[in-house]
Amino acid sequence: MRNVKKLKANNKVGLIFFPAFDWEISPTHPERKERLLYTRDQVFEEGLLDIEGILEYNPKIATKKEIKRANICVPSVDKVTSEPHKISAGAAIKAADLILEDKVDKAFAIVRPPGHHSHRVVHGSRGFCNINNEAIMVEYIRNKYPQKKIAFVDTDAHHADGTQEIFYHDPNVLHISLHQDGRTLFPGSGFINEWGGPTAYAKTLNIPLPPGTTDKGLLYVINKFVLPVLKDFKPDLIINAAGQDNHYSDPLTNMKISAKGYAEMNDLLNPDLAILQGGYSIESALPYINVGIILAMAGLDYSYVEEPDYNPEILNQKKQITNEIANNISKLKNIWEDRKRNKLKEIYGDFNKFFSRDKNIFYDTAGINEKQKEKVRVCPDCQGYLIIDSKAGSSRFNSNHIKAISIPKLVCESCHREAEEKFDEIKTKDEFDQIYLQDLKNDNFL
Amino acid sequence: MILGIDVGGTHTDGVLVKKENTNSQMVYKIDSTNKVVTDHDNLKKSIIKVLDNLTETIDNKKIERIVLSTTLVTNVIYEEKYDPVGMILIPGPGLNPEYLKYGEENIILDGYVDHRGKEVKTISKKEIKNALNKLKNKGINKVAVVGKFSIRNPIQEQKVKKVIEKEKYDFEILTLGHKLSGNLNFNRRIITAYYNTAVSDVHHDFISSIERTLKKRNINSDIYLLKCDGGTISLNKSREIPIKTVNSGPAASIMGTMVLNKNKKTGVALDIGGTTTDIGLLIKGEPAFMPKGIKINGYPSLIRGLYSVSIPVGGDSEVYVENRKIKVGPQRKGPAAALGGSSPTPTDALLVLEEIKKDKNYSFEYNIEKAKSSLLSLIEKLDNDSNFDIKTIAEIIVEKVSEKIKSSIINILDTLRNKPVYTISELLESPEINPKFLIGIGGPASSLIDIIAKKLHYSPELPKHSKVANAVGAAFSHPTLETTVRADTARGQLDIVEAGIHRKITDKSFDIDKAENLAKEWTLKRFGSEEYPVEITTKESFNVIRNFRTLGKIIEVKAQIKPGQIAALKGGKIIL
Repeated sequence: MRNVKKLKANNKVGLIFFPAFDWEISPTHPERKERLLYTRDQVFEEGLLDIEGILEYNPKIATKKEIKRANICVPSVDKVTSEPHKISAGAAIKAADLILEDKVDKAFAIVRPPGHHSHRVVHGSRGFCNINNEAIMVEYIRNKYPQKKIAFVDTDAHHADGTQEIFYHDPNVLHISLHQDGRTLFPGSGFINEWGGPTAYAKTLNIPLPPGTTDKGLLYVINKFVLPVLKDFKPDLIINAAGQDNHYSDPLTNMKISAKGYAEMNDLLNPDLAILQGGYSIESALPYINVGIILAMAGLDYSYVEEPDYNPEILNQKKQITNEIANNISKLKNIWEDRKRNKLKEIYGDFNKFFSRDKNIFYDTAGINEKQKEKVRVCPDCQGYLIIDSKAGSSRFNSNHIKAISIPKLVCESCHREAEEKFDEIKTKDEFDQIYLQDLKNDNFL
Repeated sequence: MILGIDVGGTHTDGVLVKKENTNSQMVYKIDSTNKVVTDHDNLKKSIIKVLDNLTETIDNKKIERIVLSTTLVTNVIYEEKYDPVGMILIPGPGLNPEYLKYGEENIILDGYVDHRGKEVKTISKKEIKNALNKLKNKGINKVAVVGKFSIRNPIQEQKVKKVIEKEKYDFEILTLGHKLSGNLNFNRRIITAYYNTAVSDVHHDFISSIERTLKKRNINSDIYLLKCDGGTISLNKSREIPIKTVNSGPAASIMGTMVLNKNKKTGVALDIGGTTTDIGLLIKGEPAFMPKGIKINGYPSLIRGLYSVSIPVGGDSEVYVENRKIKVGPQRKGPAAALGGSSPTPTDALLVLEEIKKDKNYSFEYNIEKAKSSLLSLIEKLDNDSNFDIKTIAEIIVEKVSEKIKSSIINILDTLRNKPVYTISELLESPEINPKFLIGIGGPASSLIDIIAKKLHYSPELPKHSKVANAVGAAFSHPTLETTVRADTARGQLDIVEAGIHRKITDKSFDIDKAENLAKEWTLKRFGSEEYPVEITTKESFNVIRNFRTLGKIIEVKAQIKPGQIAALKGGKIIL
């Protein structure tokens, strides 16, 4: 071999590949041992781990405190999580560490189970997720660097309702979710008018895509809307919640994205961090999408990545779909351009100190119904704190009623005091099975 | 009698081991040792010289076993003394194939086998013939054919071979990628196939010539070569995949320390040479392996080899002053000053310290005065304000060398401890690697091993015969084998790569236990005898489920006969 140049990544990429081959929800569940088997084979056979600049790391195991910064687990962390969940969240934390410590330029956690359907309050498993890996990662980052501005681009076919809700009132987290229209798929949310609370208007952006959307539609959304918004928001970190169930072969959804289209999207987004979410076409899609993402993140050519049954006709998109997407994007552009105009009462109706929302959350995996009332303190000086009242159970006779106060890291002093007083107040009441304090400012969790 | 001969970069060493049956116990005694300077242009000559010296007084008919560890293949590669290699690649989609062109000529065929071994896109005979003609026209005589996922289905590589045979393309050498290893990694498969093709003819010529020479001397013993996994292979079998004999030097040294050390603890093995120091690892007395395969000439390969990391520091490393500070290595300018070299070296520093300690251990060939003056020449280039005497200088040099070796050992252990794992149980129960001893061989080891061991809090060990440890390692090593059984019962496919088996299975009840038995069976069958235990190294089994229906299983089991000492040794005794 004479003078052969060794292949070198243009970006140093940290890969946390943890397929958890010994864990499953149940033997025939989409989240089963086999899920990342073919991905492993493809990644190993392509020799990606030998490329200079692609570095492999083991996950760490998330601590209870790290989990509690993002999730209020009912009744306790140990009751709703087991080692696999802590490892999956720990992998996200490890990815963040690699970036924060400047060991790599980008990091990709190919881990399971996913996290983006887990809301702040967790009564059980939902959409195969127990705790919100990405949110845990963000709070880990902001515990060290509170001022960091974070942008999420969640590209899973399902609306990232959990992550959206956790950061719904947070002006420093821009949460963009691209997903199959909620009228046609679990969890049934993610419409354009879910745009964040009064302290974080337009920091939640939902882009519902009609079933049948192809690479063409996806890349149109990225180019015409997502990239300009990211440019305006100027985040310190971009996170791609990289669900892969929008693939044309996915058994659970109706989207038509190809591996190469996915890689191109990743290339355009140029995320610092990518975390795998869903994606259950384990043999025909995941091996190729993951190879594509790794190559794109490493700055290497992904144009040769192709599924065995790939057919260029898959890119053809019905005119009706193209029009619908364009129509949605023009509405979203108006929202984004309007974001600084102070017309909160016009948008949110009349409210005083508190703005409140009622939520009905269905846990499809665990079979639990949750009724939640969330009140945010609308404060001119900070993003306010939350008062959450949540009642959940598998039946009317078997339910858990909790109350929680959640205080963000960047709370103002007066809101912090007020929130602590509220917590003291609910301590005296006996109508709740449990009460929780999630105080990110003091990093204190009761 | 047994002969072990190791061709090293500087010296060729040999040992003659006599076998005696005393009180119904087999006793192996190192009868004599020999060392000559290696003739790089004629390795065979060096080997024969050692052989003749060792066998001068014995009857050649009594030699039962000869094991050679040579740098032949390694040298051919490093010196690039080989003909151009034509690579025929069948990559299918994935990584841009431009990244995979290692050959002097590279032709991409438009075939495609996917990760389950399904042939997605076939190759036409015409396309193959075009490729072969192109190579012929360029005067290429050595060819390797390598397909992505060919170990899961070799049909496309085999098709190229068939065309070559039928159409009488008389290529001198042909390597098929799927025969090299049971492990995935197309990039490594290409590199391994390339080097295997490159070294094959030199290797064939060498062993034929060795066979002739030994015949002339009436030696009819079994003859083996040492592979880089610390196992031996018969001369004849080594023709199949000659690249497996690359880097046998470090393997010989680790196998040598195993023989000389004999304890079952975890430890680090150092072979401190002139230019480099090789660091190996013994875990509970067994040598550790490189995780995915060794590097050949810096390129990752699929060849299984003992864990060994070479760092550029040794007894002959150049010592010099830069910015008023003493630096050691990584260059070697020549031998130690005490042996007539131009620059001071760590060997000189060690000699000076030994003389001060009145430790008259060193051999008479060294000129201690030259060592001293070389060190003194450093003082003038150092900071004038400090009062350096010759002892301090020597101590600083030794400290630097020890520190370099120590930090490399720590890095290696860190890397091994953080080795990627893919299951929760492995992540939660990652075994700790805590070495207890440091064993050293090679010239400077006798003086350095104590110092380095102290820094690491290991116990130092300096075995007898450490100067011919590699030859001892070769002499006592037995053959090794690995077998990979992979069954995809959903597709009805069984692959045992190392045995050349790629066939259908219809047994619906095929499971991991059956795969294990098959792996053991084929290991023994290929080995030819039951002298050594077969162990299962990895096993996994997954259900293949589509639409909530179980279609079958994907099972992979690996078995091995691991490296170790010849069977007769069990219950036997070595007298060093």
